[in-house]
Amino acid sequence: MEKLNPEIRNQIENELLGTVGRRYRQETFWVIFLGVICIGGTVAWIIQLRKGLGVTAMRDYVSWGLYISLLFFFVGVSLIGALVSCVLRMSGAKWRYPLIRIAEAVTLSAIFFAGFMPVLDMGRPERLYFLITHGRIQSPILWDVVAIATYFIGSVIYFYLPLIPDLAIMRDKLTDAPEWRKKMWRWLAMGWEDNLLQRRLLKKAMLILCIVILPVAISVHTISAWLIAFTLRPGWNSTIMGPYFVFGALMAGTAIMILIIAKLRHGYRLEHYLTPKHFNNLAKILLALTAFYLYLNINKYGVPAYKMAKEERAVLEDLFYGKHAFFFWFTQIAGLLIPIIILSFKRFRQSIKWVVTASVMVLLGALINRYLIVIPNMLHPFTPIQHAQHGYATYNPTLIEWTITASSLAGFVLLIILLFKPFPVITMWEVTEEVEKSGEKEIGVENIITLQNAPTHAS
Amino acid sequence: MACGNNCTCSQNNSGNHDNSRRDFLFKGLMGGIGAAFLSGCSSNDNTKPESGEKVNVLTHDGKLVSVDKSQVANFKPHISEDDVRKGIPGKKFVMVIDLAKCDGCGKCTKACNKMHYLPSNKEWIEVLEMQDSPDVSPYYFVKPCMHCDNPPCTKVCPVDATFKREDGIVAIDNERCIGCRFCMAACPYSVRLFNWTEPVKPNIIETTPAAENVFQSKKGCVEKCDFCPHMAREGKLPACVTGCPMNAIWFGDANEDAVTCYDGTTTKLSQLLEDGGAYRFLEELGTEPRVYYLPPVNRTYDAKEIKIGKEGSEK
Amino acid sequence: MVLKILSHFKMLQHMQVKKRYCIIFLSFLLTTTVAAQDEKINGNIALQMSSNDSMYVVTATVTNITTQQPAKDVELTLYVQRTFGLMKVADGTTDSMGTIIAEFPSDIQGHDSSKNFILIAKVEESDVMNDTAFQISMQSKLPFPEDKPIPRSMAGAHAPWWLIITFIAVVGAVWLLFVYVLYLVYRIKKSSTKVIS
Repeated sequence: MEKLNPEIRNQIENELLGTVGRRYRQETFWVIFLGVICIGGTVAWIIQLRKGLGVTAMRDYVSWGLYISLLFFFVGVSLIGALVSCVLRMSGAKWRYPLIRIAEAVTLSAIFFAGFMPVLDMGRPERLYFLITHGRIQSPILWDVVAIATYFIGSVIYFYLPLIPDLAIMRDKLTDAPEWRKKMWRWLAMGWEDNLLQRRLLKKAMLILCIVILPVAISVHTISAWLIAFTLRPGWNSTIMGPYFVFGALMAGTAIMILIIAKLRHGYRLEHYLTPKHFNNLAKILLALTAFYLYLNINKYGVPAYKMAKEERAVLEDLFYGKHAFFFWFTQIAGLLIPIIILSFKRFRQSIKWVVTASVMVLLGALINRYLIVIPNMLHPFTPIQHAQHGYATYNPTLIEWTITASSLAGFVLLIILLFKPFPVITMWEVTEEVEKSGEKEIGVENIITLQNAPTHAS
Repeated sequence: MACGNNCTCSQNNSGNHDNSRRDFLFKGLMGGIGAAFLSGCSSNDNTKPESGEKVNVLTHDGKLVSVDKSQVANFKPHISEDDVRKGIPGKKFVMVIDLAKCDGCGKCTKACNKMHYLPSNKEWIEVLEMQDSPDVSPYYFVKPCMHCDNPPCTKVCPVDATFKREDGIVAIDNERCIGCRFCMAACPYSVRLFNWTEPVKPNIIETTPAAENVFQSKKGCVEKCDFCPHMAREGKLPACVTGCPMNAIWFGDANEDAVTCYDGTTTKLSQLLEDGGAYRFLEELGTEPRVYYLPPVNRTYDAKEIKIGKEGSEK
Repeated sequence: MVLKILSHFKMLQHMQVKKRYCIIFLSFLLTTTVAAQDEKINGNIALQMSSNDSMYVVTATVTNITTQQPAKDVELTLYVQRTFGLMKVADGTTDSMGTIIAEFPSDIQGHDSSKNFILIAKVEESDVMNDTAFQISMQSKLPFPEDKPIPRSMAGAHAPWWLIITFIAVVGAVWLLFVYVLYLVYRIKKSSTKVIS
């Protein structure tokens, strides 16, 4: 493919760098709004620390509630980085390039909050360090902590590596930035000058990390699934939990990606770079994952439902036509079936609005699904719940729990926004490089080379 | 052991008379520090006969005094952290519950709550009303912690706060527990309780490491039935056993092949299990519980009186 | 009893002398017999042990301490002392020789690792004898279960070796690769030739 005119390249970089350090009115509004929610969450947490977990609705029967559901949700969403960066890379999908940094930011933010949730849920969080001093490596919780920490570090490195050349561009280009920023870019760019050796090293580093991070990502969510599967409770004592969680996570992550890209595209005026082609392809992936997840759901619920063994009867009846029936059928129909139908049609896939709608439904379904995995099961243990105290036989989350839930979701979005303040949303060097290599259609960006072929261009 | 107890503290008993006296005094000092509180009022009590043996105790104002042993109340041997983790040597505690004799009075629960200073809304030993299928008779089911030999709870604890001892007891160290509640999720018998709020503390002094405390409740930590090891060390039965007037609960040492019930009747464990057709609850899960049940055959009460509590019913 | 004597006395005052002395003598006889029946003897128990293939055979002899004569019709119970109580193994009533021969199965476990257990012969709530007991220490025929420490397992405090090795190997490999990647980044920095202002 032809090399880009340096003017055009300059223009692209300027455009993409335009998001860095700039204040947008709507963005400021979002930051303040989300920040307030986070402050509310912190206050709620302090109240919880002082009074004990009794301020939640969790009691001896439902001893895991919203916090653990959120843990599963966040760990699940964090798989998207591995999907976009590694799986798509190995499948040679070139349209992934503009999406990489967004995916890694989502991953980083998600795994950060995933590490928070268990601490929120602990009865004695001041004893967290016992996990290191008195840890038992036979315990899945310890594996979970190690896995989340490992994945977090890996994601930080994987966020940073493609950032190095971009930092070099910023270091060289944005000479009128404040001094502390220039210093930071200079230091973080590691003296990048785009020579052959540095290219080779960077490519090697990214390849190694890509190969390592995919198993780490899968094991993070599988181990979280084992928090459920390693118990003997009816309904949890199932071998499907590992794959069920992983694919549910990939599906939820893809849905979140679509939503975040749609918002960023609109907010940062990146319509050329995040185009309907990306939405179409992500929608195809979402379709495949949602269909597969529906298949897994049929196996997970349909197989025990056919047998109706004594221990599992209570949970299944609760989900199918009991207290949680509305939510269960919502996740299956509105959360899976309808999005599958929508996304099956090319016409809908090519409309960003429809793809976003389907993604919202999938995401809602995924959130509620995490709740349905944990709570109804705990309400139907082997031994019957009898003469229980008030509030012990049901689970109705309290204000504190809802506040903390809202604040963790808000914090998740806020952290993504904050990550894009100092860094460009799209990896400039990769996009320009790949456009040169394969043409803009492959990458999914629009109207770059047409700029090149404009009459003003000297032949 | 010089102090006459079968504990495993690492005091070296060389057999030398002087040494054993020194060991004894050392242990006395340790025990006496706790016991000194109790002896504070008895120091003026001159009605007890003197034993001639002197013990060093620390008074509440920090002085080290040597008093006659008879003046020191409730002298208990020193139990170390290792003792509590290892268990009482040579014992393998086991419980047998005769469902034919249980009439659902709930006195076992009340006795347990009294001993461990629990409020009435907590139950370490629970009496449930069960009915295995619609046409069979309902019965009262007494459910303490099963102290399983293949415990699902100790497997998942990330910090070794709940652990299996050699004497069969599964204990909880509330100085170690981080409150993650994985053990509660893992227990299929739902025997564990959590302290969601600050518990009301009784005015007692504990002289053992945390895992063998009488009062186990700590905010943010898990608690459950512990087979009363502090009673077993003194050769006494757990509270529920002595609280059951129907003699429905037997407790004993499987190594000795004997279990005892409320009125002191002691019988051979193997005989009781064989004659009664004993079984274990949820045996198919493979947890290997240490509580055996004798089926409710020829009950002492009328089963028709039992009202099965509705599933998920509240008080 | 004192009242009886007093009532007798009152009666006597109203009788003839001969009849009076008769009744006094008869009353005296009556009270002494009654007193004699209220008084229980104190006894001694002696035990003789033997065993065959499957049973212990105990011969218990009860003697009256004061008269050194065998005490008959005394109910005797044999117990084995267990941690939390006394386990009844046999009982019987002494014959005219003051002996009981009792048998009980010999599958009695010891109390602790010494394999010893204590057999107690008790006379309690007997009409003829005050409560008394005698105990001997016996050796159990059965092996005593050993105190085994909790082995390395998923449920125990110590992890099995294969788990430790796998865990360290996997986690170590991943983290080493991270360190290697950071080393590559360091080399990127090192390989920069230009001096950046």
